[in-house]
Amino acid sequence: MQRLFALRAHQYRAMSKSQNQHNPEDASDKSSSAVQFDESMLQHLVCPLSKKNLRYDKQNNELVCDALGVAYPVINGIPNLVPEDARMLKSHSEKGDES
Amino acid sequence: MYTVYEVFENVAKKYDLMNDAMSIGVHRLWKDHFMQRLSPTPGTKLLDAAGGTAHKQSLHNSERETGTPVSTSSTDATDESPSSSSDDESSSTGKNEWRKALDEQGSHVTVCDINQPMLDVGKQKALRKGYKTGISWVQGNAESLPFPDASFDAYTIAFGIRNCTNVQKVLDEAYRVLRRGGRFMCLEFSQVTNPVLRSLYDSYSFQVIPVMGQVIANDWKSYQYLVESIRQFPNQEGFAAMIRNSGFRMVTYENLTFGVAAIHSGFKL
Repeated sequence: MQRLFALRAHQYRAMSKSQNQHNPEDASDKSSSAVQFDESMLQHLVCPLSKKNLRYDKQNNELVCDALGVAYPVINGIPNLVPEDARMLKSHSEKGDES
Repeated sequence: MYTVYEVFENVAKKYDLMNDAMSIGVHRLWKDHFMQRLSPTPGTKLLDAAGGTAHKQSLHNSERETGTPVSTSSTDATDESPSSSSDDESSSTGKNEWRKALDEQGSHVTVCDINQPMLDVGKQKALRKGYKTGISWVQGNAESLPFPDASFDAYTIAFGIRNCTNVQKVLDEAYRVLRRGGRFMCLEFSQVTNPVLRSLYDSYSFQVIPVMGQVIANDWKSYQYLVESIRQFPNQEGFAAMIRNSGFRMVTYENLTFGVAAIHSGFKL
């Protein structure tokens, strides 16, 4: 119980992760029904890990960091740039696929 | 097993009521004061980092749902601007400043929080109020911000940093994303300075608050945890030193209500 006194973000993340895991299929489903991502935001955003510019992948509704090969979901038009929620892209040729 | 997630789920539900009960409404004054201290100038680019904690997000979530004045800080700042119909008259000065700045002066607020439902609710509320510009919503971790270097004039975080895993990292990131001349401001629980008052406050915290939590929210443990986490956070001087460590200068703090809370401020020079 003692450790619960320290309320830590990563613990919360770990516990809530199962509820909103980053799955490209979900993301694409949502993109059709929910708010579109405002691409003009891109100029104000960077990858939280590499701090490099991101690219919007419309098909998967993801923000892609080509430098690291990771993709971040967009949910209800809001980019989720939490590193733990990123998806590794297996290779550049598979960027568009969920794999 | 009582998980952290459950703790905050429980706290969130009756958060407004509990906040008022615990602080006798003072938390609202703190927040107003915080906003007036910041008093943004026209054209300000503000980052409101909620701290990436379950705690604050839950709070925001419930507060926004109920439409009551936000008790926690800076996200409030951003929320206030759009939600002009907020019923907290006492803070109208700060709110009006923000609204004006957002509406007419090309200011921009970026709300960054680690919790998605909180952002969804905030965004929907802002849209309902007709605010489509001047505010951006990004899900992110305050320890690893998704923004370029030197991209903001002001950074606010309120009742959020206490719950971050690595507080120094949060401060380093704040420093990175601020421009030269940019200001860091934090509202957080702190240490009551007067020893006599502190012992009274401790008694109140440990003996009254959990009981109140039990009575009002039917939840003893959550409130005991909150009380404990406040005690674990560095005191005024300790936190000021951490802020300086990240590179901030002209670091000052101001005690609110005998030090129950404090506003820390620093500049990137």
